[in-house]
Amino acid sequence: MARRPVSVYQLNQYIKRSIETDPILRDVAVHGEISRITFQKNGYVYFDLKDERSSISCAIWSDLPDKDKLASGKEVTVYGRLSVYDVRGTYTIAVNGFDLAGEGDLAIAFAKLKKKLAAEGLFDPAIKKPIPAFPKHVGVVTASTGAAIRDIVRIMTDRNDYVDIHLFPVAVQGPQAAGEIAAAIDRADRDFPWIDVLIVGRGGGSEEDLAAFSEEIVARSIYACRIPVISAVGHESDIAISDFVADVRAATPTDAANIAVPDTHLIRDNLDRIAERMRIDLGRHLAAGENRMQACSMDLLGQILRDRIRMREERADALMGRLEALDPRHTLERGYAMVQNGEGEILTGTNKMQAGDEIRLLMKDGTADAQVLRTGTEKEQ
Amino acid sequence: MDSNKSFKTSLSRLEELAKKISDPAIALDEAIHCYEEGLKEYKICKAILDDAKQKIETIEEGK
Repeated sequence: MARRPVSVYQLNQYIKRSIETDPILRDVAVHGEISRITFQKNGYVYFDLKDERSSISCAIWSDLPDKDKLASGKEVTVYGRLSVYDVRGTYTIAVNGFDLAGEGDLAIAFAKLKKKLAAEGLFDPAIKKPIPAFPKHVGVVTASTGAAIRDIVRIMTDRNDYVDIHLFPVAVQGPQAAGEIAAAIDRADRDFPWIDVLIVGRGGGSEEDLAAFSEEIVARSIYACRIPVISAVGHESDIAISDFVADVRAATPTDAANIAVPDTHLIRDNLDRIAERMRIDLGRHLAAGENRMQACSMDLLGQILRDRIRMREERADALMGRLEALDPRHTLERGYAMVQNGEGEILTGTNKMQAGDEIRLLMKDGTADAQVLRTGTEKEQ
Repeated sequence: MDSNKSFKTSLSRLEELAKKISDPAIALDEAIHCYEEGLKEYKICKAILDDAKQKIETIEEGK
């Protein structure tokens, strides 16, 4: 049956009127846990009130005393009336009073687990592993999309053009998150033992969003992991159980990236500085030793060293040449002969020779026996 | 991992040699020797840095 349609505005107006004039909804008292609280500059406070199954948005538009004591995770009973925002068709409890009822369930569970694990020694500073100074492989256990992995990759690649990044993608919130995070840490430890350091974390979110990192299963995996672990959960002010059990707590994922890898640009500069200092120091030694050396360039120093080596080699070559020249066999090569007398003495002149003596000529390829016919001095020849 | 170790070893050796050279009392021959060895370590460090090809990978479930 054709019905006459109304405008969206008309419908929202009707709902607003119905709800805001309802005698029960005009004065409610609701108990729950505060979540996602924000404090506006103009003094307004917005938060969600939730229990295990449901949540409702709340606003404090009036000037209530102690409203700055409200915080996410706290349990509270709020008093107020339902208010409909007809522009968007949403409803809110306009809070005009509240009673704080101690800490919320999450906070209680957090404190209990923290106490238990501390007692077991999982946070012991003595078992914290150092982060390697010059890692080649950094593992990252976080969501494959989102601010955390983006920040980590950007910072690490900006700082360091040497390290490899291995992402283990996991859900970081929701019912599966803790199990996936723990499994990824276990897997890195078991199958990728060559990873130098593991970052485990996520970007900012509400207290419930970060809760997976405060679960026992995650804490146990971090504790068992032989690879050093950096915990990087949420913002500076957020604390998770993983922060206590990890080897290092980073304030944020960005901070974790800075902690995990050194700045290779600085390392290069440092290397160059050391080499430069060595060069200058050596120059000083050379100047002192030889008195004529001035500070000189690396190339020139290299040249000097090479020259020295060459000089030594040449000196050795020359010596070798002289030694070889002394070997009589070289003389025979050139066509000379040596003369032995009958006793096998080498004769260096004619004064020990007489006509009729038998002599032996030693030449390069053998000997020849001969007899002296006559002798004479050089002049007589 | 090995690169971590070899880089660190070379770097600390280089620093050690640089410190030796900085001592005005050492003999010239030793200074030259230290310089030559230091230059070698310097080149090893540079090569480790420069030869790296940075890799970013996602490790999928069960890979």
